[in-house]
Amino acid sequence: MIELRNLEKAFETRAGQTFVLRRIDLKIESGEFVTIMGPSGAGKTTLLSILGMLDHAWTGEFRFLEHDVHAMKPRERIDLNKKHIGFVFQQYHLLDDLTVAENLDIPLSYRNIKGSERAALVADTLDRFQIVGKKDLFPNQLSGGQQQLVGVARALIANPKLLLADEPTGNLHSDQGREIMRLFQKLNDEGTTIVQVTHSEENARYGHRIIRLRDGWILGEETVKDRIGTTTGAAR
Amino acid sequence: MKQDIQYAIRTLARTPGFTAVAVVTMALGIGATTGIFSVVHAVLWNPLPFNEPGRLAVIWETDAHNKSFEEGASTPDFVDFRRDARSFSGLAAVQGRWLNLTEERREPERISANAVSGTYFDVLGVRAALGRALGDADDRPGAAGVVVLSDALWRSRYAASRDALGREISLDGAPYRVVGVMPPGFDSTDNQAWIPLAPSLGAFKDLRGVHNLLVIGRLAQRVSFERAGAEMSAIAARLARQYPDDNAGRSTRVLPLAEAYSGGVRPSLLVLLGAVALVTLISCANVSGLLLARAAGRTREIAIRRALGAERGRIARQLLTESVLVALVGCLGGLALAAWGRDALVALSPQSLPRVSEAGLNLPVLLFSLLLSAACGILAGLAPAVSGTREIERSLRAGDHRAAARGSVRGVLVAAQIVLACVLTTGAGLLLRSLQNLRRVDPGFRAAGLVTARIQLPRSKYPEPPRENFYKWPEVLRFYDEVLPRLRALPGVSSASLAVNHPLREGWTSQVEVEGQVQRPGERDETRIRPISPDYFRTTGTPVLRGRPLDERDRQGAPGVVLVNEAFARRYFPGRDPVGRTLSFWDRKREIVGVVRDVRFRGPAHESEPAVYPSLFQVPISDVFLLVRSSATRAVVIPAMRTAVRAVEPDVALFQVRTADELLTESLGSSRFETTLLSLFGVAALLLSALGLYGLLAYSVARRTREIGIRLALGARRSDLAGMIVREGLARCLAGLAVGAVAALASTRLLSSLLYGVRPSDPLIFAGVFGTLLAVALAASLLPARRAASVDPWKALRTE
Repeated sequence: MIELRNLEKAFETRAGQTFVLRRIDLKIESGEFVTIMGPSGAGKTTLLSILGMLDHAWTGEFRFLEHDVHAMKPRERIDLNKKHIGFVFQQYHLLDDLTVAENLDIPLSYRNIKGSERAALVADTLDRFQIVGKKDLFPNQLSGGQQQLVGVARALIANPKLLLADEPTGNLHSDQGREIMRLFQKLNDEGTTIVQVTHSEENARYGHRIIRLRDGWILGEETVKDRIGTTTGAAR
Repeated sequence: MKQDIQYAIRTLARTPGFTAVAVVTMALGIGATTGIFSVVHAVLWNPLPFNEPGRLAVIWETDAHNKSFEEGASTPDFVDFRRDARSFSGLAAVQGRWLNLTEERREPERISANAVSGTYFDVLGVRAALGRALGDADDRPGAAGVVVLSDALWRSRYAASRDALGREISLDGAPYRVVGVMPPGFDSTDNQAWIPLAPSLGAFKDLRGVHNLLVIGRLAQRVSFERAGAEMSAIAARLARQYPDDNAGRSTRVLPLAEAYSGGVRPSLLVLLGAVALVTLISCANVSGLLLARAAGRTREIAIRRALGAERGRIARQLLTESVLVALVGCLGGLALAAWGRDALVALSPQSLPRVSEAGLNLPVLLFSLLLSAACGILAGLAPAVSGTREIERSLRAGDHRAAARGSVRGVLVAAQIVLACVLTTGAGLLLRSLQNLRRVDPGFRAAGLVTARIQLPRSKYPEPPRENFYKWPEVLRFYDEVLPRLRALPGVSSASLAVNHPLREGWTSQVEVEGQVQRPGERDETRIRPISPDYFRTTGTPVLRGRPLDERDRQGAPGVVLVNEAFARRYFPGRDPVGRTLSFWDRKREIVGVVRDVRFRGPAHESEPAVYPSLFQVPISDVFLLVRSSATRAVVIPAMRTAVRAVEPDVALFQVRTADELLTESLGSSRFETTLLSLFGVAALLLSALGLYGLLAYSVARRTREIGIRLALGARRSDLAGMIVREGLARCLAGLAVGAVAALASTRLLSSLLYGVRPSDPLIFAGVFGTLLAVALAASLLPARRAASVDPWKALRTE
């Protein structure tokens, strides 16, 4: 699904070029659950932003679903993002002035979907994530875990092929975090490719593979041996 | 779109303070512009209430030698125009009158009326709403007197009763029958009645040299104004060859009738509209600044939306929806403001502003207001909409709700407000100085204590003598002899006189021949003829510089005498004494017995023109002003004058009663109007700019709290920090002033025609404006500077 070749990102400073990512070569197959790990400043979130087409200032090759992203204009990349990618943020990033249902509707409203169809999708998603009773609440009326749940639901409502999650449990306590990770695993079992960034070794054990970054370089990759969850084995 | 509107309403409702400030700011700009536009529309653009008003013309006569371009026609000229002109399907003549309306068992009333030729209503293409209008059959000498009333008079005097038709009334003692009522709004000059012209033309009706008729016409089918103008000029040229003594050098101008109403006031009205538009632009810039600050606080929300797939255009649309909503709510407030201020605006308007009473919130004005509001909303929302964040990833990762504001854009907006405020306040300053100069002008007479009132002696009791006996009008002379002593005997009165014109009334002109100075026909200058009674100059306080004033000797049967003014002496007797010389006008020779100081009878802004002052006892007129100099108050003098006049002539009412101070104020009417409004706009611009600058600096302080904390921790004094903020404010003001100076220099040229005694680039005014704006900037900086100096460094650093 994803192939990166010699991908690099750097800033120009007075001292010269400062690299955030260096010669990243990476392949992620469809249906994989991949974790990107590394210390602060390793470039994990930057890599995720590039995968999510939120960051356009990089060099190298990036192929996504047979598309040469490196050859596309930013607008074309955004269209690709809209069609196939969902993003879960560490700070949830729900819109405070919108209810749960309206927050779920927002990505649909940016995708030229008719109102009646959107309403049906929102209803289905509320049902799927068992948050129907909370549809008229505002984010400040939900717990952290509930907000992140809504964030995940929002990321998935348009049926993306790829789910990117940046420290999805970073602001949650451990029980809530486990709930979210179990949900991710379930989604992956259902066919969604997931790439997460995390500091947590425990969270990494929900996935199939770990990619370790340091100072912008990929140090190595490893398959998760003692995977947590209902399914075991390699990626489909 | 529906979603954007719903979200916009919800977002604005959650920040009531911000929304209120933004709405009020918009309402001020939109309301002021709507109010001024309603006046401009009523005066300049509202179609005249006649059939096909675009086909109606006014035909002015011109005098090349005297450089006069808007004179009336004489009765013989009008007759010739009607006979010879083919470019018009109809021509009509109009003459304004003041008439005493009396009826049995009813209070007499002074009304303004138009004496019109029989074709008048046909030319205008308007029928009577009740009864009939006047026709040719009514406009013949000896025809029975008939009158058509205005809707306003019909309602006020007869309670809109149909019984008014056929009623017999008396106008100036002559019997008239009411035959019709015109529809409401027919005459926008507040005229109250129409009577036939021919039966009421006096002794001047055969004189080609007396130009006292306004001529209007309806263009014939497929005839343009240019073609009609060419034909009328040819007719005028023929009359000039035929009657060289009276018509040499005279021609015609054919203009759309609407221009006759409003042409002279167009420049000043457009200046006001431009000025108020600047205030609206400042309001937009102010609201834009507020929205920008607000958008900065919503960087996270915008970044999320973009991460979720929103295109920049969609985000921009959402932000513009909010700003347009603010503007539309501001529009409602602005309309309320315009409606509330309408009466004050009309009351402030000078009398020279025609049709201003028609100003109001009609459909064109409402549409204008709506379009203006939409434009303001888009304009105010552009900067925040365009400056959406590009730094999605950083904004999201940092989770920093205090993302960097578009300080530079806000700074540009504040500078733009200062530029506009500079232009407005400079214009206001120039007009204020101009008005001050006008008030200091010596008008040539002493206004304090002088009261004037006009009377018209009724024709029924004072029938006009035949032309050959024009100077022998014993009834009028008897009235003068009886009323003057009564006026002089009033308590507190030191002097009283009569005159055809008070000192600030232009009056008639006529050609005057000076002995020994032969002028060819067409090269004769027009001179103001201002008949007066003895004691006139003592009453008005105008000094007689040489010779003697008129006195009791100068009556009927005595040799004809005049006084002349300095302007006349300079023109005809430069460097010589005119006393003892002779001149002629109206078929009589008269000796110059004195020279008087020039009086600015066209108003303080206009130099005096040559004038001659014959004795009213040698040139009796039945329509005169009473002038009384008294130490008593207006409230005492005027009723006493009424009593004195009624003791001689019970049927005569005083009208156009004014003190000379009021006359002087009215003569400045147009200047006062423009100056007052532009000053208000200038003050509004200053306040809005101050608010904009304050908002920018307050936001700057809030954003730099950490920096200020660090500076304090490193040893900065609080006064240093306060000075830093004040310098920032003054620097922004100076940046605006640099551009504002250039803009003001360019724009104040437009005011040249409205200024008196001051140049558009007057350095004192510019210096004053700059000083004022710097002071305003300093005041706006003080509170943010104080806040900066009050920052707790440890708190500031801990928060970070």
